[in-house]
Amino acid sequence: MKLYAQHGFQAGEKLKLGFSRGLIDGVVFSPRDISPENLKTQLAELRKQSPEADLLFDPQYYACFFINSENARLGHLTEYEQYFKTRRRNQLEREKQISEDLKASFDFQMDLGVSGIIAPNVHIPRSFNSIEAGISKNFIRLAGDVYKTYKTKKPLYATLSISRNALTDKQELKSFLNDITLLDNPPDGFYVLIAAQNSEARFDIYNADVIAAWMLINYSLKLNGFKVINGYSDILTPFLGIAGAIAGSTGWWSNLRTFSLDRFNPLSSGGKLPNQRYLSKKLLNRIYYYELDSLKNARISEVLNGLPSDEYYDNDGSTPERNVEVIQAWDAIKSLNSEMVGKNIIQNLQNCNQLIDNASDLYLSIPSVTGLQLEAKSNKENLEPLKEGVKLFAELAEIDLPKN
Amino acid sequence: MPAPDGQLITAHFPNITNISFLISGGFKHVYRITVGGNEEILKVIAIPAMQVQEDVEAFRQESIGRIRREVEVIKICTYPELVKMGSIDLTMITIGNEEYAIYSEENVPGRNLREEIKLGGSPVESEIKLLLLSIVKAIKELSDKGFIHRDIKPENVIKTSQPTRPFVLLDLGIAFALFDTALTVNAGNRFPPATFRYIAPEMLEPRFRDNINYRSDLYSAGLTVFEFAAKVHPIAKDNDDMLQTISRAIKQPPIALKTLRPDLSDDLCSLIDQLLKKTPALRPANLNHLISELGV
Repeated sequence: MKLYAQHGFQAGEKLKLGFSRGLIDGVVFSPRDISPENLKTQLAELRKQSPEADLLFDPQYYACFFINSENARLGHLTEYEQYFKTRRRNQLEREKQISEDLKASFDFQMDLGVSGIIAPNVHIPRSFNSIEAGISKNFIRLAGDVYKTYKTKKPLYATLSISRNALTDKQELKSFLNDITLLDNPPDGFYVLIAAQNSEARFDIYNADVIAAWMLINYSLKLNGFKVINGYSDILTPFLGIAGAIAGSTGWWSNLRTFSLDRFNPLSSGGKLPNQRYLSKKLLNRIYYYELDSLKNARISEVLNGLPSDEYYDNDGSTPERNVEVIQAWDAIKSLNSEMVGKNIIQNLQNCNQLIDNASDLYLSIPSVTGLQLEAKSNKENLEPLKEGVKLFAELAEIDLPKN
Repeated sequence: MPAPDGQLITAHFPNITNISFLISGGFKHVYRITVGGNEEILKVIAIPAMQVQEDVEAFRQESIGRIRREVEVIKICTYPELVKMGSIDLTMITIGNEEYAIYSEENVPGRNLREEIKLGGSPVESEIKLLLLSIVKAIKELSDKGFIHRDIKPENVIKTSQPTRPFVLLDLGIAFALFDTALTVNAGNRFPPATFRYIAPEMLEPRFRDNINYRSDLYSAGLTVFEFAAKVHPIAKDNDDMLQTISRAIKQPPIALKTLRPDLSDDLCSLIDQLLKKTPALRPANLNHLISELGV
């Protein structure tokens, strides 16, 4: 399974470092965070550095309804006027408009030298039984029709951007999947985004129903011959790989680890740089750097991954440079991918359960040995939704897991 | 309803030189005939008499509509995996007081899969794949032309000895037209026409017509191929009544093929098992992909 960098603001040298250390297989660029000129330069440089890299461009068309919002945070996106324009919902109820917008986006990407094309789409905000879901289906259906007029072998990925709230109705989800997997001119794959209310709403995504539904989407699409790339999947990447994804992505800010349209909305309050964290494979979670330090001092070395990127956290108590946080996360997720994603899905799911149980045991041992009370973001509350999510996914996917 | 005498039928079709009764089911009677020196299968379907009551007249129109559709589908399909028309086009005749719709199909030489299953034995993997491939190709052609077969089962598949068409799918009598007016009268209060041992679970939902697609045929194909391979139905039981059969179709997980045929490859077993999933979106439905995967 592949791991992509989810590109965002202040990329700096992170991408080059990720490629040079062999931690990432590709990048999904964000036009909100880079000008068209810089994008072309970056793509050319990365292509030169890593000729085999998967370089993709998320057109972020789902933000088009925000253009007229006062103070919308669209960044450079408005500079992509070749395809990114103001749209009203009723305009997109016309197939002709959708086809024109698909073509404009394809034309733009064809000139970029990307490895594959991500088709634009709207976001499904509340329910699969909604006008937006109907429009989204039309974008998916028409993407293949429009794309076949291009003489290219580059794979086409249809965007599927869904609010986590829409995933709670499983019948509607199954019906939607039934529709989008039967197309006359199907795309080669899907670029799947599951949106939280905001990127700090951790339990919007760490919720059993959402995890199970996200895995089910990957599973159903894979079964039907599609390649699935997940955006903003972060630690869930290997879980989605087990369900059938070919790739997942994560980036260096919290808004690149969890997808939310809030990113394009006016800022509600001032932000500050978050404290750095360390992604522990054994805990299946991130912990703050100072927590890691305490655990190391208490000789609970199991929280360390034993990977090359541990060198950044090596010992004298000093805080690592900020730009290596994502390198460490990519290193950990890449390693989890290779350990967790095998050929046999039943064995993989059983292995998942075992890893979650092990993480739970490790968490239990922490206060007894160190007296350390982990911060809310670092504690084990993510494990129960993960475990329940895997179980619920198996039920939804009609996979009979042996009882322990 | 008794089958009409063959001689009374041939009186309407002087080019039939020989006729022998084969089988009856419901309103349909089947004969083997000889026309122009070739053997064909003659389908004779009794049409309910015209009635004053509105609902009975509607039922009569439904019957005629289904026969017309069956003939229309057979005529437009060209794949060798689907049965072809014979030399007698759809004709309405009256014998005594009864009205009949009559047409002929080619006589596909061979045994149907029900007879093959009864013979026992364990078909080899390549033959099982060939069967699935043939049915998937038939489903593809039907679907491309806007139809769902809706009655794929061992009785409706003939195993021939012809390498160019090793298996042929018959009986389009309850084919569903995806883009045409529904034929079923009072559909909201009736189960859809089907053989319940082979019906896909979603077809039992009240609003199945809103979402129906060829995945329902893939489910029935999976059951048929499973039964051919393992000689056992993976869900239904022989002594069940209709409601028990329906209940199992909705709720009971099928037996895994590998448990009955451990000699078959994991890939083939998991593909057939996957076609039997209750949720349609979990059945692999990229037909071109399936066809190339099964290419023998």
